[in-house]
Amino acid sequence: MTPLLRVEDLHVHFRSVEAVAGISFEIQKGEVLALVGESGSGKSASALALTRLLPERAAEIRGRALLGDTDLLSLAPRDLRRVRGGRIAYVFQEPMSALHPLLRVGRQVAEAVRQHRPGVPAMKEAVRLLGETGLPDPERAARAWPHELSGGMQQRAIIAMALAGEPDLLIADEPTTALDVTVQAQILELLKTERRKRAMAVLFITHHMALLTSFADRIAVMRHGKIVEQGPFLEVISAPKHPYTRGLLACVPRLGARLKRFPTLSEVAP
Amino acid sequence: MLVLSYLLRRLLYLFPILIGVNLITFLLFFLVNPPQDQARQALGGRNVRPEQIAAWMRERGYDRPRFWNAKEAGLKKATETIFFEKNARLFLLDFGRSDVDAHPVRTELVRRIGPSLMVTLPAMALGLLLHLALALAFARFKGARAERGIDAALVALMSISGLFYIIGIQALLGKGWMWIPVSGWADGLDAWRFVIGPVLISLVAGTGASVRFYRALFEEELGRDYVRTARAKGLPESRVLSLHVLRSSLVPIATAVVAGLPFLVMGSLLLESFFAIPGLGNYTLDALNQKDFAIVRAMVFFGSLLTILGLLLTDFAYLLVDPRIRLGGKKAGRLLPVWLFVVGATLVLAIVGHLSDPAIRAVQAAAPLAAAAPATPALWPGNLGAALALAALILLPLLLMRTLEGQRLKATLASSRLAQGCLAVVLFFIAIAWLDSVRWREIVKDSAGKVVLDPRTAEPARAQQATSLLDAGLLSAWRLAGAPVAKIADLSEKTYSAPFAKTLFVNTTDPSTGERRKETLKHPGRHPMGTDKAGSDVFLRAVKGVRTAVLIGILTTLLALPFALLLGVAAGWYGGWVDDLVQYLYTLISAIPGVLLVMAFVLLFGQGLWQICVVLGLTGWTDLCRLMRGETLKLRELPFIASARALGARDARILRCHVIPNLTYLVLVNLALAFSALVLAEATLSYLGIGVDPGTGSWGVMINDARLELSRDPVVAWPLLAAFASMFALLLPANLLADQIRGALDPKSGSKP
Ligand SMILES: Nc1ncnc2c1ncn2[C@@H]1O[C@H](COP(=O)(O)OP(=O)(O)OP(=O)(O)O)[C@@H](O)[C@H]1O
Ligand SMILES: [Mg+2]
Repeated sequence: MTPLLRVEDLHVHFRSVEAVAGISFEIQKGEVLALVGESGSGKSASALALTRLLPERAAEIRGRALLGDTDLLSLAPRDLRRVRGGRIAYVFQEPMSALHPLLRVGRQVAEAVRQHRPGVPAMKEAVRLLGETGLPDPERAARAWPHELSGGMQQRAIIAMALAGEPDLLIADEPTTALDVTVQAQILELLKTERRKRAMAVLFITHHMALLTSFADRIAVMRHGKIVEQGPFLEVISAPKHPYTRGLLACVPRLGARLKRFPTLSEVAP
Repeated sequence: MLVLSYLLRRLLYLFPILIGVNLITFLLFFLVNPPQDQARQALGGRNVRPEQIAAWMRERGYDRPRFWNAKEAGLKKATETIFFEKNARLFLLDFGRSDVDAHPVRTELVRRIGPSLMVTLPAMALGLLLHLALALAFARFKGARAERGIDAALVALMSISGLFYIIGIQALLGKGWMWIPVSGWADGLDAWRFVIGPVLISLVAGTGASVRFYRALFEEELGRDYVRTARAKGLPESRVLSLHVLRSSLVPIATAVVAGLPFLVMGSLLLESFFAIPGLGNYTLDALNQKDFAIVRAMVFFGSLLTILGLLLTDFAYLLVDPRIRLGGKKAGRLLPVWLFVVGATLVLAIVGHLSDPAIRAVQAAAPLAAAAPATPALWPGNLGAALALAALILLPLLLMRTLEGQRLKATLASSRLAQGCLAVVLFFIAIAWLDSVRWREIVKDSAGKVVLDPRTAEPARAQQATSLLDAGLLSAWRLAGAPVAKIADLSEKTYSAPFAKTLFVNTTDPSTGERRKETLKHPGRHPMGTDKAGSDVFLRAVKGVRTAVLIGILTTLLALPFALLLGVAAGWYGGWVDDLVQYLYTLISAIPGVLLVMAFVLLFGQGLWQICVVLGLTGWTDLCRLMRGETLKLRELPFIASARALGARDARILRCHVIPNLTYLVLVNLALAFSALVLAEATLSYLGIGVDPGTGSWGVMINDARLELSRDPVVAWPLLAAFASMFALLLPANLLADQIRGALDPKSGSKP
């Protein structure tokens, strides 16, 4: 079976810094791939590079990213726009700054609908999507300014925006990091539901391993711009091969375990 | 209701500013420069009889006491005074009458607003459209090459003086191709023919700065997360720009536009004077030239009133554009310190004004005839300044190298050829200015070479005109080139000669034969840029203009810096009422349109380098102070400051070790950016006749002297071109260097290799 997305030897340079140093991975249709790694390991850079969302002047991207059999990295801007939002959609880390502060929420969602599903009444669909993502009063939320919503509500709006183009792959870049714990769980639940309902593949980026249980199908562990280990989720966490992966797992707090203090990564994975 | 109470609170805040402006006009026009002096100036300076002065004052109502009229009864004790009649009445929009022809100022204002607006409104509207469109178009150009090219072009446009655009376009379209009338006006809508030229010029002249301003705004917006979101949605770039980027840039754009509103009404001084448009700008200029204090005073108040209305409109613009802004703002109670300050200042002024009245009268009576300007200005301040400057030039790099900023600058300089080149040129100009500042007076010798003795002191007589190192150097250069000149004045010819010419440019009639021919020059072929109408060597004049430009460019900021730093940091650090007062002060000063403040200053204190530095520093101080305050405010909240506090460091120490060093980059960047703006301002002011005095070498004065020569037949262009070229030669590298400095120091721009 051909994978939905195949990334081959992806490199990202920021001037002299090599943020991503040749990574390869695949995502099957409907599969959830978790990308984990410490801060600065190049997770966001890899994800953004796929649809060339990195600042054009600063970043140099090499390699191949095959969606079906088209290489996203050499796609004409016109066709790339059809992929962005239409086949690959994003949910970002900071919901507050990801929404345009001077445009109403509904309009921002409708914009995505209009772009990818011409003919569909955009505003109505936007309200429906906002409702689907669990916003209590979608009509009102659509008319609201972003700053009038709470962080969790903002993130729901962004998810609605991402779903508007009915993508095959949703890239969620630490979607819950900026939220508090109960809201985190709700958002994660929402992603799980939507993913099941739409049979949508998800690239889930996090450094919070505990979130991945009962969600991730496969996992890839990144460090210093390289993937050090990847495989089926349960296999990897029950028998991690790379010392770094073991280190990451050791840092996850466990119920009932008694520790003087949490180990730091440098101690467990030299 | 909410809006109403908000409005009320804003008014309560803005009204003290108007009072402040009123006090400043009083301070300037009636305390610093009492009516007696104004009368003397208006009547022609020297040898004015006291009776004349008294009559002049009586006719115009300046003979009242200033604050307290003891002769009158009841309320009249307070109202029959200069303060009430001449100053407080401005609040009622009663602008009084002209000192010269007793015309009511208000009727004149009403009559002249129309023509001013007819030029400035279309200029602003079209400029906004054109420059935004250009900036949006440029934002789509990707790739380092294209971007650098566009940027360089814009910097080049910015480095050209507005005077060049005016003179050039007027000459080309008006005199050359005759597409537009050269000047004049018609009533009503027929005026459109006369409007085209000025509007076109202001569009062209504003392009560099405006497009760069908008581009910088867009650039900042393009880096935001929500722009990335918009792109991730798959929106076309055109929509990202025209909706998402433009929408969030609207707030700063609206601010800029509204801030420009007072200038719309006040008209453009330059354009109005060039095209003889009967607007407010021309009105003020004429008043200045006729020493009409009443009009200038009224215009200062009127201009500030417009600025304050503009501020109020800005608030509304914010409300309309940005939903995040609540109708909150300051509580009325917070305004108390400002009100107390205003009341206190009024009282102090009243008392000082009242008490000084007899004193001033006494002084006036004792020394009725001003022995005005000293015959020969002292040279030592200039020489001391030059010595200090030399020390600073050597010490500054050493000091700078010990800071992080210095290191980053060094890295930039080491890696960029452009920066090296620009720095070299700027330093070259500074060197010329320095050489021209070391001055002495030569001993006068008679034709036989013998020293002339001063009859009074029996010491060798000294020349009136000072000589500088630069003059000496240039003289030897001329001598080496073969011209027999003993002193600078010997370089002059009778009148025009073209560059490198051997004969005069115009024919003269030989009195003996009646034959018309061109006379040979005293120094044939020795004038690389020709000579001007008075026969002065143009190259020499251009070089002598360097000192004025560089001095004003640097000194002004240095004068403003201590105030800005002190007040800005204090406001940001202590907050509370200190902050309120500082904010009040800089809003007050910046409420007075800069040109008017300069005019008032020149009218009251005369023309000169120092006056210009002081008044430009006074106006420039506010922007810098605002910046410092904002930055200190930000710094105060940072964790490392909090931790320094937690460690028990005292305020003074935190300020010295943590806050001030972090402001260094702002100061440096501001110094660099302000430089070229000041050089341009000097030229414009000198051109308008409110800059340095005409005897001082200055590019603005040069342009003023030469501007009519384009209409000669054949055209004499070299004096103008020389002035503009020298200005461009300094400003282009200065602007480019400022950009590089900003690039190297701005934390947001990242460390470019
Ligand atoms: N615009 C940029 N310019 C320069 N360097 C960048 C830029 N964006 C990212 N980097 C660098 O690229 C590297 C990888 O960054 P990236 O954002 O991919 O990390 P991450 O794994 O997503 O970390 P986090 O978990 O904190 O989000 C970092 O070293 C970062 O400093
Ligand atoms: Mg990241």
